[in-house]
Order: sequence, then structure tokens, then C-alpha cells
Amino acid sequence: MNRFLREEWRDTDVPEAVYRRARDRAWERIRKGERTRSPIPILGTLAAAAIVACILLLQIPDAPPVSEKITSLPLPNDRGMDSLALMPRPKPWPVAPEAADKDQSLTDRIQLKEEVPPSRRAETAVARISTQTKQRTARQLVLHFRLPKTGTRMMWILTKEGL
Amino acid sequence: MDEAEKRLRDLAREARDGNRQAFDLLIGHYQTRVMKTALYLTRNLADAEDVAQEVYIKIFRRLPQFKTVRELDGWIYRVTVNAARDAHRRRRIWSPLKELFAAEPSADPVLQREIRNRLLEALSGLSFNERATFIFKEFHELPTDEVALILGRKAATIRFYLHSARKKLRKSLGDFREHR
Repeated sequence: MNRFLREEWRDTDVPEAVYRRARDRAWERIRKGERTRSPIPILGTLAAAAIVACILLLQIPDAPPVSEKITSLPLPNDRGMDSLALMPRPKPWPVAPEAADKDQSLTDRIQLKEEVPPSRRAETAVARISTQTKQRTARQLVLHFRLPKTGTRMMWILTKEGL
Repeated sequence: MDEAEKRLRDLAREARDGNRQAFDLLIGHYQTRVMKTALYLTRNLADAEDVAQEVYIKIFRRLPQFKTVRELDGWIYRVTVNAARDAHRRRRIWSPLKELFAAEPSADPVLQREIRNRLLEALSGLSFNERATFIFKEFHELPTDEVALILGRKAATIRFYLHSARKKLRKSLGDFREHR
């Protein structure tokens, strides 16, 4: 039986056309693969982008005014903003009645302690937020861009810590 | 390094430089055994062609890394088996080798076709590992240790596969042998 099978094996001739086709396809894949699979151009582009981002980040002298940042954000009539505006406000967490009473009493005590007029409180809050924003924006670079294929707006925040 | 080995390395270098003829000559050294092994493992000409293609690309890319041609030979069988195993997983239902048999001229086409149909039928009754073991042991006449290395199994397991394959083939082809 083995002799019979060996003879069959020996006599099995694959047509030359099949060999040639396999070689052609392999060669084609090798040639194509060498051009497309090389990661060097992609890595080069990424490295260049990272260097430019670093330079920009280091050259920012001071925090940009808050108004400038706001103008660079998507406009209110943009679809993205509309959908954000239409989003319902998140519901507060359910609080047990006893805990709620406790919280209320604590809030009353704090209010009694501070006794700052409402207008003054608002001013202080705005000033605090503005300072925080300045401190934060001095350490970060915000890039706005739109994806070419889908048109989706993207925001990329680069921080010094991240670099 | 002997003359044949040097020649292969030169061909590989020329192929890397974009010489298509060198690539054909390089692959020509291995194509018959790769294609036949793939054909008997997959039992399908289209799959065998895909397997061969994968192996050719790997030979082209990895040849310079091998110290000896002997080392490369074992590796080629391993790559062929792995690629055939992948093809086997992809395609659970096989079509017979109609394309091959239709293309091949024979002195006695009826008898040839009958023999081969019976052989393929018998081989399809084996598991992938049994078939691979049988091919390497009986057709390539490789030692058990080498087959074990190719298939990534122990020598004892290979002996078991071979015994099992022979038993199944004897059962399938027994009456045919007597008739012949």
C-alpha cells in the first residue's frame, strides 16, 4: 500500500500554471507590502507633529484670554453644540431623608458662618474660575480640527504633564 | 558554506534588489515540495496555492537569517504545515481536486482518476495531524524526530499518528489494493 501511495505522490504533477500563479501573487504581495507596510513615513510624521507641538507649547508666553478660547470652540449653531444644548440635565442622586436633613443643616451652618452678600459671592466665584483657567491653559495646548472623511469636529488637549 | 547554499543566498539577495528572475529561481528550489505537501494537506488546489504563496513570501523574507540550508528545509515544512492548518481552519468543507485532475494528462485517464479519487477519499478520512504525519513520513521519508519538530508534537505522538493513519488507510484502500 505504501508503495502504491508513494507512486501516487510521485506522479502527482501540479500544472506549471499553478506554480507560476502562486509565484506571481507572492511577488506582487512582496512588492506591494514593502511599499505600504513600512512604518517609517507614519512614524516620521508623528515625530514631526510631536516636535512642533512641543515647540508651540514651550513658546506660549502667558495664558490666552478666555474669550479667545471661547471663539475657537464650535459655534452655537453647530450640530454638535445643538445636541449638547438639547441634552437633559443629569438627575441628582437620590438621597435618603435623614441624610438630606443632615446636609441641609450643614449648609445652613456654613451660610451662617460666611454671611457674604450674593453679589460678592458671584464675583469671587468668577475670579476663582478665571484664575484656575489661566493657570490651566498656560500648561496646555488645545487643538481643534475636523476629520477629513467624516467631518467630525475633534478637540485635542496637550498638557505639559502629558508630554 | 557549500556552492548550492551560496547560490541560494545570492539569489535571495538579488531578489531583494528587485530581480524577479532571481526570485523565480529561488522559489523554484522549493516550490514542488511546498506545493505538493500543501496539496495533500489541504486536498484543495486553490488552498494549496494560497499556502504556497504564504510560504514563498516567508522564504524570501527569512532566508538570510538561516545559517544552514538544512535548517531552512525543516523550517519550510513547519511553515507549510502551519499555513495549511490555517487554511484547514478557514475552510471546513473541502472541494475535491477536480481542477488538478482535469488539468493533468494521463495515459489512462479513467484509471488514474479512480486511483486518485480513492486516495483522496482515504486521506480525507484522516485527521490533519495524521495526514501531515503520513505525508512527511511516507512521502518525504523524514525521520520521526524531524516530523515531531515540524508538527510541534512528541515523537511518541507522531508514532501514534502514523500508526492510526496507516490503519485507516489500510481499511479504506485495502480492497482496492487487492483488486489491483
